[in-house]
Amino acid sequence: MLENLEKFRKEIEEKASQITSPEALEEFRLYYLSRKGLLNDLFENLKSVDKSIKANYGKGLNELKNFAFELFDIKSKSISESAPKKQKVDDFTLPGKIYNTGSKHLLTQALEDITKIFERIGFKLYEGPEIEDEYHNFDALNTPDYHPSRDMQDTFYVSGEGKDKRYLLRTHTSPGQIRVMENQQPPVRVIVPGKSYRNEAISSRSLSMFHQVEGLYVDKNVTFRELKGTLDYFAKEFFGKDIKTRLRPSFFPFTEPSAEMDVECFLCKSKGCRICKYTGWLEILGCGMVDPNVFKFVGYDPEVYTGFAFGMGIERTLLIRHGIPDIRMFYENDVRFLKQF
Amino acid sequence: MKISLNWVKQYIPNLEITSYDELWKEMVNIGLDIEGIESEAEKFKNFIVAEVSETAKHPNADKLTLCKVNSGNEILSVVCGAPNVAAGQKVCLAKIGAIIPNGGFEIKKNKIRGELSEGMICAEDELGLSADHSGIMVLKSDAKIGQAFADYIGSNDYSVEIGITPNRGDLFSHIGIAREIASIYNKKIVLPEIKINESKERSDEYAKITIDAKHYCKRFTGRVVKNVKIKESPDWLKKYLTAIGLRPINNIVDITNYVMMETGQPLHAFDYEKIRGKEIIVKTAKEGDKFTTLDSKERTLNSESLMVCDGEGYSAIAGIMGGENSEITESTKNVFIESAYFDSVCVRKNSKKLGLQTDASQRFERGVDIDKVPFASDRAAMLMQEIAGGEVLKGIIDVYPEKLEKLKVGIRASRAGKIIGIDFTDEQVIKLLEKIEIKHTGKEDEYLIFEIPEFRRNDLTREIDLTEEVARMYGYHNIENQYHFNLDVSTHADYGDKLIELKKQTKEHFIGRGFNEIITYSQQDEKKIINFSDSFVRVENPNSVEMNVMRVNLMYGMLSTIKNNVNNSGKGTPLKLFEIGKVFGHEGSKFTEENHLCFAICGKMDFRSFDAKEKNFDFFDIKGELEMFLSKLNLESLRIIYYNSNESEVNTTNLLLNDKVIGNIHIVSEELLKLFDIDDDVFLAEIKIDEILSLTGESIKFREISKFPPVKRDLALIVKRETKYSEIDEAIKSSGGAYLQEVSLFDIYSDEKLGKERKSMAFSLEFSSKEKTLTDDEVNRQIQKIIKTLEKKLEITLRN
Repeated sequence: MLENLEKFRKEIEEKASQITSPEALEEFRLYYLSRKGLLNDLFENLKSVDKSIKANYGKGLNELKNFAFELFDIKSKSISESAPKKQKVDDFTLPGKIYNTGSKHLLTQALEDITKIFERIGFKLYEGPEIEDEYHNFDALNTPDYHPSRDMQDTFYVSGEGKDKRYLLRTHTSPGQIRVMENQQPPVRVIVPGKSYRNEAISSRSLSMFHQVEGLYVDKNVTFRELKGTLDYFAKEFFGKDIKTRLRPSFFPFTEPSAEMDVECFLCKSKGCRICKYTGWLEILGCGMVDPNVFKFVGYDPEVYTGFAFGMGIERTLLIRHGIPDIRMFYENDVRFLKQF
Repeated sequence: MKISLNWVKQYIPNLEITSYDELWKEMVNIGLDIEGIESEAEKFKNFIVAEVSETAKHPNADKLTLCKVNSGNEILSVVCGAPNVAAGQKVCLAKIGAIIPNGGFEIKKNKIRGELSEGMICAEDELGLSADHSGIMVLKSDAKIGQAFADYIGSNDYSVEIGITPNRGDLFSHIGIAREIASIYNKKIVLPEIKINESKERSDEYAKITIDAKHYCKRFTGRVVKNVKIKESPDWLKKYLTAIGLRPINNIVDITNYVMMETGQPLHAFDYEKIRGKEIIVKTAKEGDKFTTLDSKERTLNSESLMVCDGEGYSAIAGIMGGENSEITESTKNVFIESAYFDSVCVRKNSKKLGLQTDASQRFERGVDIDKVPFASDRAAMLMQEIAGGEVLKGIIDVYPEKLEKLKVGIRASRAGKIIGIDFTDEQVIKLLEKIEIKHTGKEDEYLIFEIPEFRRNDLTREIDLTEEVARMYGYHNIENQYHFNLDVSTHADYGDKLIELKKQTKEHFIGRGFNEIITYSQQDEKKIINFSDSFVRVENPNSVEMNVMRVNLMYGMLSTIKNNVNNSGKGTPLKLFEIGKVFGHEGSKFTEENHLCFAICGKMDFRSFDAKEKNFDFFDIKGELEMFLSKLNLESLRIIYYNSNESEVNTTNLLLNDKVIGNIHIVSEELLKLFDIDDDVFLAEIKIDEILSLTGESIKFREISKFPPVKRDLALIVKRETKYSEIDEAIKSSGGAYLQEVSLFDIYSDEKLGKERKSMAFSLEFSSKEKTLTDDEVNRQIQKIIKTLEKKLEITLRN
């Protein structure tokens, strides 16, 4: 009987040495190692083996089994290692495997672009509350009640039962100016991006919520000339270095002198088109030198400090720049819109 | 405000405009914000003088006439509906392509009741010249056939729409605009000369004026013009009014409008006979009284409504609108002209409360020129004499209780220079300001003293106001840009820099994970919000009932967005969306604003491949996203627990930090899906950014990376059905020893063999040491410990 085992051992060794393919390996496994394989048969037969040699035979059989499995493992490893590693592609034109591509909202992109430009020249980001009190949104910005300039901004009020002040949804990011100045002494250089709200009828051109970026710079010897230079620098960074800008006199209660900045219409190259109303210019932002009254509200001495401020709405400029037909698309969030930018 | 350039030119003697383009540019440079320019000649493009050569009755319509019209180089067929059309007439023909000024429709070649028509013979109203629609406009017989109609009527005017800022009430008039334009050409304006032949009868014998509300009405003048003939205004007057978009009504009304548009002083003409008691009293109304204005609407007054009253009652709402009871009509004979100064705040409050804004109120709100109150009255009286044949009574009744003193304001040239950034001399400042009638009167210390013209009293009260005028007259475009920045960062403060950074980082992470960022409205519908919270911030004056409260979470906007996208792109569309924004609430006497992050997935998994099976997103996709996000922030230690707030809502899982809920994951409930009308399953997480902020931001400490290879072992376990993954995970980790680095579940299955009470779970374990290569023995011993622990704690056995 024990010779038998020796015979099998040789046979297994020989068979194993001939294995070169996964198919042969599988054949080997089925023949020797599987439940219905040879080794199992031998174990089944163990019952009928003579008692005198049963122990030795059993031990030998076990060794044979381990030997067979070991060989199998070695072969299996070598075959898998020798298997061709390179994938073969029959058709390179099959589509690639695609996951959803993420996208940053166009408004976020623009806000980040704008704030980055100002951060490069030393402005710091500040974010103020969206529910403001009248003081910060109007009074401290030199916009008293029953002054026609309040008409420039139709306001949403929020009910503030039990509150000591009247609250509203900020109509611009300008209260950020006040909040920063209340808490620190000059020099101040801040850029305030965020949502603002105005009670306007919703249409393809206007919404009751929009995004604004506010900027403020206060120090000794800040001049209107510097305001012009700063904003011209901004426009060239944002719209391209060949863009021309102009400042027109305007009015805001919290700045004086006040101005509006136009950039050359980049659609018609300032030849005049429907979008720029044939003026060749597009209005981009409002700005001016901080009104001394504003400084009085925050406790800065207007004889010592001067400053400039500016504020721009984002949506309208983006509508023009990207040829978007309807402002509401920004907030409908159709993924077919979002993924384009 | 719309102006007629021809009208403006009247006040600037010897003005020669060599280039209109140059004029428009200069107007913009001094702050006249041109919003639109209409050229009259342009308006009448394709309108020509033509002759009606023959007429015939229209075969299919009684009231229509078939005309042959000679346009100079061809004979056209035109169907005309006017009763007065006749052969031989010179008419205004709108050719094909012409746009009719009144109505804006384009003339096209067409058939009218079966007959060809190649143009239109125009009536005055169609041309926007008057309200006359009685028949076609018949031109003078010597009109030249083929001549442009614009030339024929001398139309070389420009109507210019100018945006007026709230500080410049003076620009709400042609004289005001003229003053600015004159400054461009270094000219001064000349006001129209007043020439009236007053009769012997005295005005003050006809009316008595009393001002009760002296703080609201600073000056009130009256003039009486007798025996006016109400009729149509002359052409020149109609033309000016039409040019600025006003409809001519009758000579008296037109004159008051004309003088208002000329001087900026609103006037009101009363039918003198309807002034009861022949007296005028200016006083405030009684709360709740009713009054019917000119537009036949009944208004409810309040105790602050300033009224012009007669002997028996109200006659007009001061500075806003006259009353029906004293209106000028066809039969009016005698006119009382009111020209007054009403307080700007008073008129504004009234106008707001009554919801009534008029040309008059707009001007009073910004402040009118108190010195020119009588001038406007005289001007109107003069025109009524000229145009309406009226008899102007002697003198003006002028009640002016407290004469205002001249306003004087000082400015330092050095200060102006400091603000603008250019050095100015005193002489320069004086010269620039005198261009717009701001008169230099002397010098006190460093201050140049200027007398402010009355029409700028509300606007120019401080040194800075004059500084702006200096800059404006110097020309913003002449101020050189300065690109040299002084950068002092000594006071740069922390404005919540970490939060700003965290929000940015979070956005970048989710975009990298294939999410699309959305931005939704902060104002939402209370009817839907109540499904999330019963406490919220209400908008007092929403512009839509669907936007009447401030959002309490981002989930609402997210679900609305998902709904829109499923509607637009179809059910099953893979959606991965996120938003970062504020949500609002109350806390005691304060409003609160919290920064939230919401991300959601819906529909099919976003993996698109030709050899992969389609699969829908499930709960573990969103949970995985949350885990990856936390791991990105090095916050793997945050605890996620299951949380069943009530029987029906078993689908919410909370994210805990120190036992405080800082966010949750939802399998959005049936009820909510129904509310938002969504069919697909939605998996969504909402996290309070402010709460996790406190945990982040510490600079990350390096963790040593093992130089020795890891050893991997797989364990296939037979587990009781109710045993939770987390229990097994915890048991393995607690018994895994120091070398166990990672435990991951890679398979779960159940089959008949395992039976209903058991499931199989396969884990992959990774061991490694930083000091040495682990031996099989070491790992095996640890594995045995793990198996024992699993057996003891959870009755888990190994699968063979």
